[in-house]
Amino acid sequence: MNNFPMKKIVNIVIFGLLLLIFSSYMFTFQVRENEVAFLSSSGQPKLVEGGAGLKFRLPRPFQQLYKFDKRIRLVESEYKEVSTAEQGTINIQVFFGWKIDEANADTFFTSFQGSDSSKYIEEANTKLKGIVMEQSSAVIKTEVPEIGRFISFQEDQDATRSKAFEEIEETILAKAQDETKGLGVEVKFVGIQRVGVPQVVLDKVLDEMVTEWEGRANETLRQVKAEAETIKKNAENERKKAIAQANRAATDEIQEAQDRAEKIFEEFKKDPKLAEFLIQLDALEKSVQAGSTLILDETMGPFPILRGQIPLIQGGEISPAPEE
Amino acid sequence: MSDTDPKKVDAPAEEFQQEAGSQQAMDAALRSSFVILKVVITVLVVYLLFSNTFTVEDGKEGAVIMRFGVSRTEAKDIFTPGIRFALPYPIEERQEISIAQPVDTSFAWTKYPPRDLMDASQDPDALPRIQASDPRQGYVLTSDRKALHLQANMTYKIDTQSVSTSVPFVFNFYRAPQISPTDPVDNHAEKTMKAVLESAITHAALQRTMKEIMSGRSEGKDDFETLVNDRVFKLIDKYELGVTQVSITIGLGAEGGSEAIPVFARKSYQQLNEQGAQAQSIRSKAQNDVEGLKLTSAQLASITKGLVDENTEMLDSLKSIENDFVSIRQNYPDPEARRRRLKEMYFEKITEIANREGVKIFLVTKGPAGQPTRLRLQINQPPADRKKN
Repeated sequence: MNNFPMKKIVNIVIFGLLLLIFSSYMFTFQVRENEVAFLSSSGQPKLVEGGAGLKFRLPRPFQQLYKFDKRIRLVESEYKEVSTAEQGTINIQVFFGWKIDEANADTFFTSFQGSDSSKYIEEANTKLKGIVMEQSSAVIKTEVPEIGRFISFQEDQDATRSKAFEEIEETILAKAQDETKGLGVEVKFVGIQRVGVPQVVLDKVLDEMVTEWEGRANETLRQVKAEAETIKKNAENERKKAIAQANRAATDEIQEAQDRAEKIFEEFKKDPKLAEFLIQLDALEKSVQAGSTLILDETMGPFPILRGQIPLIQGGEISPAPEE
Repeated sequence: MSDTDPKKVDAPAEEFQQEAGSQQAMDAALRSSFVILKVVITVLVVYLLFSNTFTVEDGKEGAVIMRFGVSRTEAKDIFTPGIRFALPYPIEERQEISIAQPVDTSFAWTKYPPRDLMDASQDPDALPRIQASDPRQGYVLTSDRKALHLQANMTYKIDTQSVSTSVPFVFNFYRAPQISPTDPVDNHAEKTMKAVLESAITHAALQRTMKEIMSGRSEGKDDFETLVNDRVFKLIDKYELGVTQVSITIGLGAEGGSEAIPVFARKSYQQLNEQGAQAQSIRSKAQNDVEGLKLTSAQLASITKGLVDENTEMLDSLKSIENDFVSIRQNYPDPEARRRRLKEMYFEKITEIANREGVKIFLVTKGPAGQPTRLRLQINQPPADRKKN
């Protein structure tokens, strides 16, 4: 009997807690600082005023709650082919950030449809993506003559090229902002994420890369070979010049020696056979060095004298003695 | 009634006693169950109260606690490290902020599909091209009209110093509520950073040549990575992302960057590089040849000296012959005496030559007129070999 009140208290506390949880779930909701909320009664949406905090509501089906995060959401478009001003095509992907315009949140609610908050956002994303992509296509169609608008081939025009890219982003943003006016959203920024070319152009780009590199490889090799040849030729000429210079440096002494040699040969004319004998003997002495092996017949060079075939010493004519 | 069975009279009392006993056991069991229940409830309540307690790591994290959707964390305390207490969800919610974030992008990278070798319609030698319509086959266009594959990663830190009232990275960009840690992350600030990086790469690639991008150098201009960095910072400021300390690394893949070249053109690129190496080798060889042809001043002096010495030697030799010539003519005017003297000279010289070490002279007789000289080979065997034979 003493336990009964305690059990009762526990039951009451548990029941009270459950009631509190269910009723708070049914009758209250939170609005975060980064959210905007709408309560719809009989299809008439009403913005929940008073900022963030705990709010009261009637349960469904009397009131339906829609809560939307009002921070910037990023959306990326598809990578899509768009026409340029000069009837060309480029592939482009853009991204943009949008948020619910807090001052016109009512308009946002009426501009889009959805069975719940996430469906609203999905529809807003799809619709805004369509608008931004449409504006991107329109800007490229009028502002970008061809891919070269993004790629300038003039090396000294960095600033112009950069401006072109960012200018296009700014133009798309301005047009998207114009188009989304009245939808209760703010497009905060637009950026170009990817730029490419369609398959036909891409194939051409790849083919050109191959052609250029193959051509350059062959040309480089040809040039280098020619360059190497020139270098070698120049070096050989330099060497020849240097040797010639070295020879010239010896000219005086050589000339002196040659003059002296000529005088000696004049002297030898007095007895040419004796001179020949002595020259051959001298040549023999000089040419047969230690370790030499000679296989000769008697007709060769100074060597007949090895067989004693020397007319001079075998009874040949002896020139008269010099006259003193 | 008196003759009633006493056993039958005692039966209800016994049953009552048994029932009382059961009741007591039930009460005891209930009491102990209530004790256990109370302990369990107390443990659950304590767990619930502290379930949202967490720690903030110094220099790595920050956190904002919101009570019924309203922040109760002051800006100065967002990145203060320590233990934070928050009441259980949905009364209070915590928004944890990771200060440093990595971003990887492969938007300009292509993983080429493997070839189906069983497909007879495919040319086995054909190189795959980039499929422009497939967003997974990424590339960037360079200013010299080339397609290049790139990967990049970026790390950045949330600016914790200039936080005034909130953290823009957290409070300006949508982030799906993450009630449980296993909930998927849908953070649009992080997505924006990735889009910013990709846009910066696209933008910078269009301004630089493929060579400049691959070498990382640009003559007299900002290099590719600097251009990417500049654009990233510009967009971070423009989009008010509240991010600082950005570090970007551009990846060209393995194999010395040749993975960055589309497969279709990779072979010719490698050939070009190999030709470069071959050209270098030709240049080096030419340079070596040039070095070999160069004459030092010492070598030139030696050539000069060699010429002079040669002439001097020749002249000395002639002078010596001239001396002999003059001497013989003067001292041996008589032909017979002169012949003797010449014979003497001849034999002296032959003897001297024949005595030179290792000199072997074979004289062969010239053949008859019109016939070639007949050589007879004489083999000198060492004495040891002769004995064997």
